[in-house]
Amino acid sequence: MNKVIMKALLINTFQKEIRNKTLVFLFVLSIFLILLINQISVFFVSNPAMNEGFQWSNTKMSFLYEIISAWGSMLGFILGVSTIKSDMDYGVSQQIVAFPVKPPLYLACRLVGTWLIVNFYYIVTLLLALLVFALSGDQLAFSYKIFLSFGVFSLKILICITLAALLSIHFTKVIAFVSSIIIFMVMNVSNAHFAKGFAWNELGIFSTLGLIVHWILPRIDTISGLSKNLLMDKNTFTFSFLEGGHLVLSYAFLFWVTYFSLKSKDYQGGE
Amino acid sequence: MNALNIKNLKKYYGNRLVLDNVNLSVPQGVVFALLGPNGAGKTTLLKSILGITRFKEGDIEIFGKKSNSYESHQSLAYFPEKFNFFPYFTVEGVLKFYGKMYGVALQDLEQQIDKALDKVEIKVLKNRRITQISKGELQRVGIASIILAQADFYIFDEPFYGLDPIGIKIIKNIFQDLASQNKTVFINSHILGEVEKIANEIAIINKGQILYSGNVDAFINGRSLEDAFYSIIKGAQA
Repeated sequence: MNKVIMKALLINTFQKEIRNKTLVFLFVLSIFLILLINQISVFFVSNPAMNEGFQWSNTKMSFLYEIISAWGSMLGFILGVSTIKSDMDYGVSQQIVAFPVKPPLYLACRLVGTWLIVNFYYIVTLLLALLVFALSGDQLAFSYKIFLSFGVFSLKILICITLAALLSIHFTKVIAFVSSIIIFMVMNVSNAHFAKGFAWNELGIFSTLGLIVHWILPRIDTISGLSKNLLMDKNTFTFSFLEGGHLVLSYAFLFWVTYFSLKSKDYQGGE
Repeated sequence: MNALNIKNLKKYYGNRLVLDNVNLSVPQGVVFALLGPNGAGKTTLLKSILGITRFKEGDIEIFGKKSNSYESHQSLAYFPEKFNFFPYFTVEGVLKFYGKMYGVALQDLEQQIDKALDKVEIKVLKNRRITQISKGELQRVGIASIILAQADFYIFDEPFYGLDPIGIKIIKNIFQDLASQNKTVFINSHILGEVEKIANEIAIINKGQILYSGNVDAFINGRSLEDAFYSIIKGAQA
């Protein structure tokens, strides 16, 4: 029975998101973005002087990766804030939580359904980008490593979606979206800073907060690094079993907080 | 066995006490109605029973299981005051989703949906989008979705809302049908005239306190339910 419920919830997630006009808009925007990336990258790569001040690699692939990755995370936030929130907005969530469905299953299905949609968009964007690059006369930089890299990157998308869903339970869509991005940036900066180690006696208030974020939330900067290294075919993988364990535990913590928020949601009033 | 047992339930919104030491039992196989004026705490009590609002004190059990547990929800079906679903779904799409959520076997689903639509007399709307049907028709879709549940304990929040006289008659028949199968129907309603015709048991709640709980006939004692209700509420306010 759980399989039927899982399937129904996953399909329902696809249906409500796919029929959502936002996705059509995002798809059109994706195509526009790819064409823009192509033009911008041609400009930067053919003008080394312009590229000097940037941290982007001077290869088109790296440029492509940076832009599409940011777009993938953004899509995760956009759809993440609505995956649970739209149930609340349409008055469906009260009915769903009264169903004979375990709340973690409901949450997992909504998150995974949204994750699959964003992944699909991410893959399509990536493939379209490669196609546009190839059509514009570049050598097609196609390798199986793209998919390996994507597999790692999709973990980051899942974290973005979960974070946005958690915040959307407590705040409006706009506030949840903006605060997701802010927290995401804090996570990124904290990970990048503390990955190199730290001295206890040098910790101030903000750096202590950053350290807490670095330890209790998933290390997205590490995931991004690994994904990028795989894509660029670099052999300097910095991902250890310890990091893998931390990722599993910290994501489990994030999921639990989201589940707890959903379960504790007080559907007040209605007199 | 009682379908529902509530013991010493207290619920606060901030510092405001909205349910004050509520004790209530609902026997199995009856049509039970919770009545009270606006702001009495009816919906809060109903949401507490469903386990979708938290309370700090008291105990609620459905067939002996904690109301907010997964096990209790397996015997429960809930119809909200204003039934709603995602606007791009057809009537059939909504019912398919509900049927699967309530564990209807896939091979029986189509047949069960047709049966439920027949019962609420909206089979003709099966392929219509829910944005293309009226408020009353949408309520009937909601009722059809609840029929799919095959539950033991049905909770209806303002089930007559938006229904025309035909719809009201249909839903009353459904209540009686369910009770005849030893299912328990719990109704939260303002429509005293309709409640009087179908309920076996009632509870009157005012300002978060249960003023009466028991048999309808014993409560009205030869009067109309409206008069009896009016006098107990006014008596409590005096």
